[in-house]
Amino acid sequence: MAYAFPSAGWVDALVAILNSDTRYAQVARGWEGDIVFAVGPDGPAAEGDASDRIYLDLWHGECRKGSFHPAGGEAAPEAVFTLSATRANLLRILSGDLDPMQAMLTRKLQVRGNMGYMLRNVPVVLDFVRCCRRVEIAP
Amino acid sequence: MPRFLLVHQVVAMPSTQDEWIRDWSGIRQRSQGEARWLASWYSAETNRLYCEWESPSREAIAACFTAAEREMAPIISLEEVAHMDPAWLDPVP
Repeated sequence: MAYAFPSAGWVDALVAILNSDTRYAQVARGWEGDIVFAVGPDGPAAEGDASDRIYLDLWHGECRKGSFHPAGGEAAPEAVFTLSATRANLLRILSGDLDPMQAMLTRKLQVRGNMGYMLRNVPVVLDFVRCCRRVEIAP
Repeated sequence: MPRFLLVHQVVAMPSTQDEWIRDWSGIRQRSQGEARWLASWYSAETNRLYCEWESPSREAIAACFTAAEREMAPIISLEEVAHMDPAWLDPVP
């Protein structure tokens, strides 16, 4: 089934994949840290924060909670990491067109949080992206 | 031009994205002369960074790093290597 991105359906599908993917469970067994993805609008920056947010509580190879917070709605919880990008750039990462490490090094994906922890856990980051790519996105 | 493989043991990581980009951009700028930084691979298993360089000498590579960068990621080996491409074995169409 294909889901709009970002949407509650996409988040639920990702949570189900993260909690059933044996490789992710193994690779991310040491990961501790929740993440908010801020999905910004494409084009010129809008006034205020017009980003939709995805909250994922990632803990030792599991996703304990996932939720979708549309712009202007209920705020997402504060997280250890906030990763921000335009929807277009996130879709490029999800389609495999943009390497996630390249996106971070070029600020197409902005990281707020401990960069050292993120870099030391590069295999977790890459496997997380692999799981995200398993969720089919509606055109 | 000789190629080299550098192995860095990473002892300190940048704490922010800005710091990471600033550090790497500095090395990138300093490696636009005789010595050229071609590619890097990071191993989280060993916390080592494997970097491919092209340079007329080892000294030209070493000169691309500041003292602070050498402290963050000391060079534990710097070896001249020969490039070999498995695709060379493929039949020529």
